[in-house]
Amino acid sequence: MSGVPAAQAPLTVRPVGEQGPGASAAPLPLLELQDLHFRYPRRPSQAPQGKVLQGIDLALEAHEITVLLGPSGCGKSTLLGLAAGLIPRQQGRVLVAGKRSDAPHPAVGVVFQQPALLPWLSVHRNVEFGLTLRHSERLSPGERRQRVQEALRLVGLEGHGPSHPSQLSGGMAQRAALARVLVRRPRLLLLDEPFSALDAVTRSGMQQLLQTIVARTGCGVLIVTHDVEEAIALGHRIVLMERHPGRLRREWRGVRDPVISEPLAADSLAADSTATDSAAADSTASNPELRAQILQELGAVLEG
Amino acid sequence: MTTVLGLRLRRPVPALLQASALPALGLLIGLGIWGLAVAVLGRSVPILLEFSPQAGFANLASGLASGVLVRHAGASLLRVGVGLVLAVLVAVPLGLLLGLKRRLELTTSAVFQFIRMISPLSWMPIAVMVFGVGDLPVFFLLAIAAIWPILLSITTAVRTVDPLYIQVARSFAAEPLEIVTRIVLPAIRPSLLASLRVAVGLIWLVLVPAEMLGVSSGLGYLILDCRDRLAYGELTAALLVIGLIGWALDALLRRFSFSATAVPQLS
Ligand SMILES: Nc1ncnc2c1ncn2[C@@H]1O[C@H](COP(=O)(O)OP(=O)(O)OP(=O)(O)O)[C@@H](O)[C@H]1O
Ligand SMILES: [Mg+2]
Repeated sequence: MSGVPAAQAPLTVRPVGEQGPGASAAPLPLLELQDLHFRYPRRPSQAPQGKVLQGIDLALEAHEITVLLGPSGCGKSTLLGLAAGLIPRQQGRVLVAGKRSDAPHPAVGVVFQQPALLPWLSVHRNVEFGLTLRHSERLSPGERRQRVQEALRLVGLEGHGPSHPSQLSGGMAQRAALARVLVRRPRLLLLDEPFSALDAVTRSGMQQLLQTIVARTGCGVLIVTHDVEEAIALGHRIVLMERHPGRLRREWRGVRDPVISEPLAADSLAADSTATDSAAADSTASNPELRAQILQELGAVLEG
Repeated sequence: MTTVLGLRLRRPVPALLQASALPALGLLIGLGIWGLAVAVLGRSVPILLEFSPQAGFANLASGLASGVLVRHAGASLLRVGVGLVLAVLVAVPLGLLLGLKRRLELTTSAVFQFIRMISPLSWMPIAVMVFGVGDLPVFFLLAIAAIWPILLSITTAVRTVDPLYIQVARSFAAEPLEIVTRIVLPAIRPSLLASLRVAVGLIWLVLVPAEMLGVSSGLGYLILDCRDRLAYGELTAALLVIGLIGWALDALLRRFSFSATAVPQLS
């Protein structure tokens, strides 16, 4: 990762090196899943399991929140784990910025359902964690502190650095987990039901925060949920998954226009976030039939 | 309402006072029983009178003043340190390995359980044969006594580290070694410290007999020496020192491991 401030980070990933015919090349997706198949290894004394994933094709772009919606057990977490390089790939390909990737990629940040803050470290040190690994970019202690404080400010946890993780509420802990990922300036966020353990009010606050972050940093997001309301509230794009085997069944694009038309200045966060919020409100209000469609499809998935 | 010495107090005794007053009371009672037992048994076996508390404390004072007890206690404590360091050097990496590699643990568990059950002192003849007389066999005996509690508790602790923490580190593209040093080690720190406390207790128990093994310093040696010189008052003082130091070591480690688990590293 480069030392470019978040707001100026490259908005799209372009072909690298030998690939790409030059300036005219279309931007590559941040992450691409191509014809992924997956089956959990059979345990002794267990009936053989069917395929969990079958023929998954999915491309994730910058600035875009893609919601992966599906019933429990359809393989959403498995898909996310494969995309994150946390589960060994079996068949098909995972491309990060056009390059095959079989291990966790530093430009990809993952947030799980549990915040999983390390209890032996302060909030500050937790957020700093990803900057102190051997492959992390070299930063002076001062720069590191600044980056951590920036990330904490972004998620609204300014001043909570010295706290212990156990002193945070569930929502705050999840914010800290988000900050721990954002501090590395990832180009893509993979989120596995990150808000499902939170109460409704906290959850909608977190959803707004996520939209703000996308608008401000231009990162792409893949977020897993089984909550239709959350999908509609968040997604620029909603992908519905069916189970046994896990396949992508239907996709809604352009649910809401990603706010990418305006160049982002570092200090225009407030303006950007209101733009995003009003866009969100509009499209949700004008989309009662979208909700009906999704619910109908989801019903079909649950029956079939 | 609290009762102390049969007196009913109007207000509860403050916790701190109670925490130090009751153990002190117990010590006094213990001292009384000791004096009484020596006095009673001394009637039929007069030599036992030399083991009285008075003789013990008098010799403790003179031994401390002359520096003899201090010298021997220092030698013993040094051996405790060496034994503990050796045990940690072997048990911590091995425990990490066994905790992380289930297959290896299954392969070795029977062997280790077997060896663990052999009292450390039974290694004495072999230790002398291999290491000769002097400090080396003592170090060996202390280390072998201390390895097992550390090894077992680390192996278990590693296996129970929340997989989510490891998942987090992996998602950050951390290398395997980094996962060990940055996640596993800090996560097992409380268990490690608790096992060190057990290990030091064991070392202290094994130390005295181990020092009866061809060394010319240390509290174990002093006991043998006093016996040979028929200096039973000094012997009693040595016993007092052994108990006191063991107690102090344990209290120290308890405080250490407690504060280490209670207060996380803050920025
Ligand atoms: N480690 C594993 N070993 C074997 N089978 C697994 C494992 N993890 C998940 N599965 C199975 O794979 C299928 C998909 O699981 P996955 O966790 O990906 O679903 P999900 O869509 O995330 O569900 P949820 O909404 O409940 O989180 C399920 O049938 C599950 O039982
Ligand atoms: Mg899941």
